[in-house]
Amino acid sequence: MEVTPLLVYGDNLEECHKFCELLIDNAGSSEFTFLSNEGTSTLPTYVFEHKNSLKIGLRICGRYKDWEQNSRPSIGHEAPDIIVTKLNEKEQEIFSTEFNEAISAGNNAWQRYPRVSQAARKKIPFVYTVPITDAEIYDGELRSFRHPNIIFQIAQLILMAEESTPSLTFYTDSPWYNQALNKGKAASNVFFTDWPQKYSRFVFSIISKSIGIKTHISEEIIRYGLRNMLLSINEFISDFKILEDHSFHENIDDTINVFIDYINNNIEKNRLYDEIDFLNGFKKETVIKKACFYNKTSSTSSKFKDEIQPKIKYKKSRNKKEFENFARFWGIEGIDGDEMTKKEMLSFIKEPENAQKIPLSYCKNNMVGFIYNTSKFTNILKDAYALNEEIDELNDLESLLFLPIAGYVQDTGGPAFSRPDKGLVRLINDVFYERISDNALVILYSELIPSDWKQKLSSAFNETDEYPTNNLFRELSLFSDYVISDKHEELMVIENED
Amino acid sequence: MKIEELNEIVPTNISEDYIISAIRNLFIGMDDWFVSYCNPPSGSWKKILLKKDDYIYRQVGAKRGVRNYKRPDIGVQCWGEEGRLTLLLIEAKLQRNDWDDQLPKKLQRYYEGFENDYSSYGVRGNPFRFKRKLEEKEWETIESEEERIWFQSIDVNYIFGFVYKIGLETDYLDLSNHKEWMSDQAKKIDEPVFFMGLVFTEKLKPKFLFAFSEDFPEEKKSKFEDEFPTIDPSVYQSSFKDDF
Repeated sequence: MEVTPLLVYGDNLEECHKFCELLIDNAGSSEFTFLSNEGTSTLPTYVFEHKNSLKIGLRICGRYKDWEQNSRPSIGHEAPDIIVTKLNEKEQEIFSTEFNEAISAGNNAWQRYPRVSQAARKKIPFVYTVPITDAEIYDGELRSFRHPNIIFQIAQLILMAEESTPSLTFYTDSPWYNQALNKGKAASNVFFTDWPQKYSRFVFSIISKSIGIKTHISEEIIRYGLRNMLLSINEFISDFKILEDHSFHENIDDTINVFIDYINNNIEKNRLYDEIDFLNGFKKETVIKKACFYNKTSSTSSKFKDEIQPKIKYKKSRNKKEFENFARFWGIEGIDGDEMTKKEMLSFIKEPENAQKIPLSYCKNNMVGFIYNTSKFTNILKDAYALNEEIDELNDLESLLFLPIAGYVQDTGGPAFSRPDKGLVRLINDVFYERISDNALVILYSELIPSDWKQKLSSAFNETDEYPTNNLFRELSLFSDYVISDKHEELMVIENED
Repeated sequence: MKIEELNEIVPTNISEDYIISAIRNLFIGMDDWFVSYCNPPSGSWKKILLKKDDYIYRQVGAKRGVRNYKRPDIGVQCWGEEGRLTLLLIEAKLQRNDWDDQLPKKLQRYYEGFENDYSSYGVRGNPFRFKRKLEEKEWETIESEEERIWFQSIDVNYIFGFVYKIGLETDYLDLSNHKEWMSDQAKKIDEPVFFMGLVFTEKLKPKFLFAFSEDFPEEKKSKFEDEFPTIDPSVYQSSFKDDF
């Protein structure tokens, strides 16, 4: 039997089986029919036939690590759950996916993000599956419901527009759905029960395209995915907008059409929301421009926690006097606690000319600070740390992205870089860098940061793309312009060529 | 490309993954048995499924295995004729040297808890929250308290498996030595344990060599002996002797 060969690799063998079973069970929704397994039970070769009689052989190849380094498929440093390749004279990656059976708790979600990003950057179609809702259980008891963090979907929309490549989230069913819906912790109008059929249809359409069969199915499924992503984002940020000239509420199909144009390379102008109007985000809610006051909390013992955080963090619980002092500290004049109510004071500092004086953030991601009053911020850093004079460069900047992360954690084998933090750096880079500011400062505040951190960062920065390492320092070298180690009270300026 | 050529594509390394997959496939193919649990990366450490009557019950919120207890790589279940649940807890390793005679106790503690360790409650104590009919995909919320805790209310028989990789049949394999080692361990242990070694063909099809401890239930032993594709060590060795 002659077949067009396709190979399925994964994080583990069972993931490969799961992927192929999903295609077999739902092949009826595509233009392919499942014929037989021509391999073994451990390493099957599934044969499917297209309606035009062309046969494909989907060979399970198991885990990446069971192959020699030079013969493994790759879409970047992070190995996703599945990579499908096409075997011609040269093996070529055509599709990648990540299955999430559960919604990760807190920061753990960040570490999966690089898999999403790297696929898009390599222009490999990607599907991220995640339950529509989930529950946190502790000692057998229900603690709370979770919904997927929408910053992932926002990042995927940006990646799709920038790379003209589909990067979709498919929401999967969850037994918790009805309970979570009653508590407002699940998106109410997102389609998910039909995800296996849509998923299978999409994968087969990608396969079809890769082997030269014309199909319109991929566009139909991209529309399905986009609609669900937009609806889900909207569930948790009301009245959002990601295109400069389109409100999603006015016409969802129009917004979807713009993204289809991006994917088909039919659009020249970058219509993604740019750096205008950010401060109006207090009133006019937009997606990455929906401003709020910066209030990230860190409990890790550090100078960042003790000396910097109290000065930059907005706390609702402040009394009027403290509120007034906080506003005055950041240079807001004309605020008077004796004459104004707290509500009036808040409205006053939300005026664009005032708001930009204090640290801001994006309301669904308070991990990153947007600093416009860079001279005040520089002074805070200088008061906290004994840094070299290079810190004064920050004074001259119009704006700054500020990302404080622990950076290192205690692992079973000793101190190690934090994988969630590494993922977060990439996420902040993709979503905010250049849209808010093209200058970024990272503070590493873990006391486990190694003493040779500058050397590590320098090596990561200087390495070639051919053999790049996969660690936090590599991500930092691609994102940051300035890095401070809290423990060592050292600053490193990265001389990016841009 | 011819399908035969495509089937020639096999990985260069046989990891624990292939052992786990082979065992899972064995039990998926047996009517009385149900694969109830798979440890990551093959499954989710949070989720245990159990089959009872016409339903699959789903328990979430299992726990990580630490200190005095250990999560099995695979957990399979079987209902006996007398209506008693048997759980077979299997550990898969790349080499036989990883065998630890405390393993059965540690695996059982994952389900039953460990009385001297407050943090080590057994996962059997977690109530079920959902069930679904065998042929259906949709989960129903379980309302009845009695139904939610049936797993902790019944008696369970535990039996154990230790499975390891022997190697590729194209390598020189002294299977008699492995058979002897398994028989020795089986004699020494006073728990119901089966030892199993896996030999893979060139195309990674598994074959099994095994031994049972004296306490292993006779009817289950017979069933496994009938169902598992076995290899005869003496035949194997003689064929290799010819080659060498």
